[in-house]
Amino acid sequence: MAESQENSFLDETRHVKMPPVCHMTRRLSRRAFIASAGAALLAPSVVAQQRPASATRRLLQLNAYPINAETPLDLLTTYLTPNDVFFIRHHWNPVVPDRKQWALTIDGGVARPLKLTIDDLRKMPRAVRTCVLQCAGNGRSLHRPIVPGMQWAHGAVGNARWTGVAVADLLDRAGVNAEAKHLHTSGGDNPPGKVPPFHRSIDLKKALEDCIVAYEMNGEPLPELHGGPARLVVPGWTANHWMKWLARLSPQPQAQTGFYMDTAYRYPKNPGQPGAPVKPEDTDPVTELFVKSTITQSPHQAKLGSALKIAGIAFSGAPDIAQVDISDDDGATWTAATLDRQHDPYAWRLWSMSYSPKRAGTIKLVARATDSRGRVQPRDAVWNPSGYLHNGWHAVDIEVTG
Amino acid sequence: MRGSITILVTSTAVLAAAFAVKIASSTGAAGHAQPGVVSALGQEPPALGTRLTPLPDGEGKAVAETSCLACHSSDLIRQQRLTKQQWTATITKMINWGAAVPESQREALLDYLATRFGPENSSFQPVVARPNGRR
Repeated sequence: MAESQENSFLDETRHVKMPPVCHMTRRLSRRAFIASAGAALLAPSVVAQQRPASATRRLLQLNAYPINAETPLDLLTTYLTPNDVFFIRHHWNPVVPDRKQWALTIDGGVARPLKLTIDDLRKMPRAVRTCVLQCAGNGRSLHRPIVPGMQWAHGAVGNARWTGVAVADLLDRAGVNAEAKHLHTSGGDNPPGKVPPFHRSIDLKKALEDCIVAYEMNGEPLPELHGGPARLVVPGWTANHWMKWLARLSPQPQAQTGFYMDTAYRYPKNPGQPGAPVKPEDTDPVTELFVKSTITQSPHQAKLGSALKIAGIAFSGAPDIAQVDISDDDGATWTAATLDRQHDPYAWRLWSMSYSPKRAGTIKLVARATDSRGRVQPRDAVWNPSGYLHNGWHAVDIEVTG
Repeated sequence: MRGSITILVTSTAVLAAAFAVKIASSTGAAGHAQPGVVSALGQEPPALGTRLTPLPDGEGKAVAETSCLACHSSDLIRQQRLTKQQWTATITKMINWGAAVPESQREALLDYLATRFGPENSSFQPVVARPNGRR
């Protein structure tokens, strides 16, 4: 199978780098053995096949239902991530409202409770945010010790142009009470059995600052897979705050309670021993993204001295990225990459550089971002029991021959 | 639920044979640092949401199917690499959330999951899927 693994179509995840602790003995199940045997028989045909025309537009499906799928890194090379290859994260099979029947309820601590249809929203001033949406669990599979949950690698992230109505305008229309400090949100998430409801809240201050209720994504009506007819957009914050299939906004004096506020989506206040339990009182809600850079383009093989294009993305919970550096000596020395000029607050920066390998053998390149608030991406992410916000240095290998 | 989010598949085995070839990896890295399940012989990749891979055979498979797969596909199980302690906690959490695990079969389920999807599990690969809709 060595030959077919050189085929870039098959080689979906070469950018995933596991820490050295995870070398494992491969144990084939009977089914895997049979499948492997089949693969061996079919291998020459597979290699001989032309890559299907649609193969470049694809997702890596981690779960068939509820659907969870991440974007292959080679499709994260544009400023805006196309809707059809944007990562999908569903907790449960949702109840997707009919666009014509849908209405957003605004109640709670307001003078004038409202029910607004999509047409009502479209008549209000348009607000646009171009920013990163990243699952809180992106990179979960890279944490050591291993933690349970959807085993995302690097691709549960995208950058899109979201259009809708500013939450500030909506709440202005409804008239928020002075006592309200938190914006409670709920949507079409439809937990089965006795799973607690997916009710959340965000600080009202953040909601009024720059959040919007989006009904478009990259100029199209917001796709159902991404929370259509409308979802919350919370620039710079993890995706769990971006309520999909949005149904209700409700300003309240206190934060929302329940499993998805008090137990899930929490992060240790201070780094502890990896693998050690963390008490709830020693955690804070996961909110802002951590500074992070990911390498999305690099060759598998190269000749000594050749000029290689290395490129990637960088983003943070800060509004901008100040710098991205690349190292080929495990962080002893760094070279600055060039940041692309395209930018909006909390959007990612595309970056690139020309790299020329100076020795033969396996060269490991790592990327490190620094954000506009001076925070530097760490070599190792902070381990946490739910595997949130992995942002350790991303590494790729290049085989260099003389 | 409306729309085309879930695609019902009657026979995962037939689909697996028709669409997929599992590409063996010699690296044995954890997670899905592996080439993925891809379509073979020039076929289009399966549509997003296709249920492709069943749980492996063994004692405990039946209870895993009835108690776990009512709410999520087998993928979520097969990608885990958990210790027996972590599986115990996961089963407890799922029972509290409504998973129908008869008390008499709880131990068999734990053994099934911990044996096949323990820290050494490297069998999972994501399915390369064809996206829905327009770009």
